[in-house]
Amino acid sequence: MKKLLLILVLGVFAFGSSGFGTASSSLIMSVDCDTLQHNVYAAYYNAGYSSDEAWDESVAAYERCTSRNTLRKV
Amino acid sequence: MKFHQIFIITFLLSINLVAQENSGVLKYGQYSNKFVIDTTSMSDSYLKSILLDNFEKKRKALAADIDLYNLMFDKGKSVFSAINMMDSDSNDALEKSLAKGTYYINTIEKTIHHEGDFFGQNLIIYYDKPLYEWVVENKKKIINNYNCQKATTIVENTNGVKTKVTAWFTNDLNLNYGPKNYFGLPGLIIELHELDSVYYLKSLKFNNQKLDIPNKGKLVSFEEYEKMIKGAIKF
Repeated sequence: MKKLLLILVLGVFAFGSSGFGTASSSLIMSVDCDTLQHNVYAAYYNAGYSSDEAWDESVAAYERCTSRNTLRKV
Repeated sequence: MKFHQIFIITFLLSINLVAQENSGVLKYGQYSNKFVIDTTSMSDSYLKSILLDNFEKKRKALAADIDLYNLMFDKGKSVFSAINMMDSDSNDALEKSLAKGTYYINTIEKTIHHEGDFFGQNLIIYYDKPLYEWVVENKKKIINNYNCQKATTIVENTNGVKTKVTAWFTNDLNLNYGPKNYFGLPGLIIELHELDSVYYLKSLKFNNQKLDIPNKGKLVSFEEYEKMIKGAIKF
């Protein structure tokens, strides 16, 4: 019984240390910034904002997205 | 002799007072209270979070009840622009939330010049046609001791999307100006509701004003500007 408990605890620890879980979530959270910029622009423009306002918001979203992706790679 | 002197001085003073009533500065504030983007059909949760976060940042940046815009007026002409803020991180969010550029309006000739940085270029966009038609309604309310009446208009962006703009104007003052590019009502706009924002009058001071004229940028008609947008935005 003690051996089984030890195997289970060490197993969970080994899985966690392998980085498998982190790599998986990194893939899920990766964002295509070009598509995001396009979608942010469309969201504002289709809500009635001027093209200029929509463009400024989309550029800000793109910059935020690229810096987020860069941080994830570091 | 004394009578003549008193008469001339009184006459000159009254001319000065009348002149001052046609000239002065209005201060406007702004707050953001309505998220107007429909996210119900969006499946991208990251996109939704960006849009909601942007709105929340704007709402917080505009939460303080302070003077944000000057509207200087003189004999039927007005200049509306954001008040310069000191450079700091907190003011960066505020500046991004404010109406962009400077609006030069001639209420007599019904012309608008909008000067600012558009798509990385200093431009003066010239509108010589009315952008909207007001519908004055019978609804009335008192705002800051001014008797106000409701008026609405439908504005359309270059994508053909129509949105309703509501103005509360007053006849208590002999002025017919308003924030941004809104004017043409039979009174002064005290409160203006446009998309996610409300612009509201904070103070009024009559004094002599010498208005600037738009001079920082290339003059383009709105039709030319529309063509530039179509050329500039390619996804």
